[in-house]
Amino acid sequence: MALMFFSTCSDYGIFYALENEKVIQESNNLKNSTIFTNMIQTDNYYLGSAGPNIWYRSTDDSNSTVDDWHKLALPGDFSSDATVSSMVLVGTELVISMISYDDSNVVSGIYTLTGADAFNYGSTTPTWVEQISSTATKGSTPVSFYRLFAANSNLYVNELSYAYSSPTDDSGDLIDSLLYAAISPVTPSTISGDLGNITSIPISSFAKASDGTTDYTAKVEQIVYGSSTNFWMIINGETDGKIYSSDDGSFMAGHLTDETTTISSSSLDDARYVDIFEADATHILISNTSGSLYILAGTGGSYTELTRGSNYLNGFVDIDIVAGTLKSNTILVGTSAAIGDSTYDGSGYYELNTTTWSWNDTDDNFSELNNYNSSDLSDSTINGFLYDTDNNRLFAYTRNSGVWMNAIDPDNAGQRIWTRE
Amino acid sequence: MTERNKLLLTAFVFTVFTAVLLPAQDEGNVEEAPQKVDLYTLGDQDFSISAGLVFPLFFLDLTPASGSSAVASTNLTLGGTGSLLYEAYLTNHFKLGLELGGMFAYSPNKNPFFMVPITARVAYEFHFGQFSMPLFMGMGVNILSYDQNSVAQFIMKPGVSLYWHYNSDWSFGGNLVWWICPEIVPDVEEENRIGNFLDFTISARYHF
Repeated sequence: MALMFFSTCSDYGIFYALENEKVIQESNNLKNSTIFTNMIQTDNYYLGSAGPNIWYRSTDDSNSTVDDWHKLALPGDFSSDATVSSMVLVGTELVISMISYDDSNVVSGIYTLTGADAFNYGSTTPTWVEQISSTATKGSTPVSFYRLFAANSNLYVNELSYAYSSPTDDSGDLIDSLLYAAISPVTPSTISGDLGNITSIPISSFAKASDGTTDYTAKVEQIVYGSSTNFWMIINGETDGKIYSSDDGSFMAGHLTDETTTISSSSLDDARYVDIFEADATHILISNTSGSLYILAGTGGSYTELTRGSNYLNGFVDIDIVAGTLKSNTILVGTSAAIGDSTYDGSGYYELNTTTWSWNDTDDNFSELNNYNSSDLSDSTINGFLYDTDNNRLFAYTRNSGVWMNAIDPDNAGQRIWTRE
Repeated sequence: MTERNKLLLTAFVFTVFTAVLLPAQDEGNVEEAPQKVDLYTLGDQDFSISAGLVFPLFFLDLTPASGSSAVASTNLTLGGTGSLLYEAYLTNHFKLGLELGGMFAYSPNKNPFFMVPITARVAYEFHFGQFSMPLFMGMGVNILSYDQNSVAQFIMKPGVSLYWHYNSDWSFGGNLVWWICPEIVPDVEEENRIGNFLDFTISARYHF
């Protein structure tokens, strides 16, 4: 009677979890504080951009040691405190944008590495080619930042012009935002010479400045393609955002549809956007700063809204892929900071069932549950995923607990476990 | 009076005097047996603060799978514990109390594990010289917390202490307590366990 009186329901047995907990292996030399902002895979290497560095390691683990990750030599035009702000692989071109600060001077630019898909990073020093470079003085001339996107084998560049208030002050205003496109096949010549200036994107047509009248520009957050011509793009202003779609692949005026005018949801419309993902030919996933996930069934406004926890939803990966299915009908959805929080305490990832378009239970994990729950990954902010279907590996790179790899447990071939790189 | 008669008379008088005086001396040297005074009585109270180590012993599975052991390692590190205890005497030996405690230890991946037991206690205390030795049983609610999950479960804490009375207000000693912590998981019965922990603490006790 006393047992029943005092017992309360438990999601899982705490003692059982402790009894079965195993030490999570730190299998590699990346520090737990290494923050990958993006991760790509070439023919034989993984690359991750992390602040002032690009790390690479071989996809071949046959000669693996604990010191597999190495730093890639970067363009020499920048000081040692330069930051790799974007990194994308477009066809055979590795394209990066960098920025560095030298007192009040700001240097930014876009560089390419040709043949990056088959490049032997382990034995050859890369030759970077400058495509765009700009130098500005804080408080005097606007500083250009370049955000890169790779979609449908095209390269998109969002150039942001930022006007600092003074040479010594980091405050300022975003005064211009332009979107450029280099259409496949992307080569260095098309990047430097032929980027189409898509100024007709009404990026400045919404989101007023604090005075209520001045047009305010916005940032492109993400671009995805549903098919070779059907793309989606999310843009954020100061207080709200927009969702654009195009059925013919054109960014020009008249070819874009503002989906936020057709979606009859105030919570979807009146928000800024976090991430967007093409789930399949008919479903687009969009997360916003209210913490919701919207499942759009094509254009025209039909959608389903899901909520889960109190975190932003950021980062998607489909683990049901013909070449290497980890779990059928499942998309992993990463979590980011808690809504309204200035810290980065995420909740790892959730599983989205793409048959029912609903969340799987927390104890229904494609990977070994105890291993996941006892790891730092389960309460991390996830920046993104990389799924290597050829080598049966899944990476999750986080903001606050390093880079994690999921693979078959060497001690139990019937389950998968997470280890930290 | 002959010498013989004088001696006889002297002996007789001596005998008479001793027969009279000795009992009187015995009566003068007789003392009352000391009365026994209880150390504590109804209304006496004490307050204790304790701190020490906790040894995670084992988890017990009452329904182990075929071929599996019922006893398993906790995988926890040596931990720390502390508590506050209030007691009230009903008699010189028997007392009731209320204790609030806490413990922590770490999992293999350095995740913290906590337990906060709140128990009512009944104790029988032996006294010998300047020492007291209570035997006690505590029962109540135990809040377990691990990996952002918390549950309230039942707990029993049998134990023994040994105190040295420094003065009428203070005593100091040590405690040895076994924590018996059932955890019931209604939705997943195979995960039911009984956690067993042993703590050793030192205490300061104030009597009032």
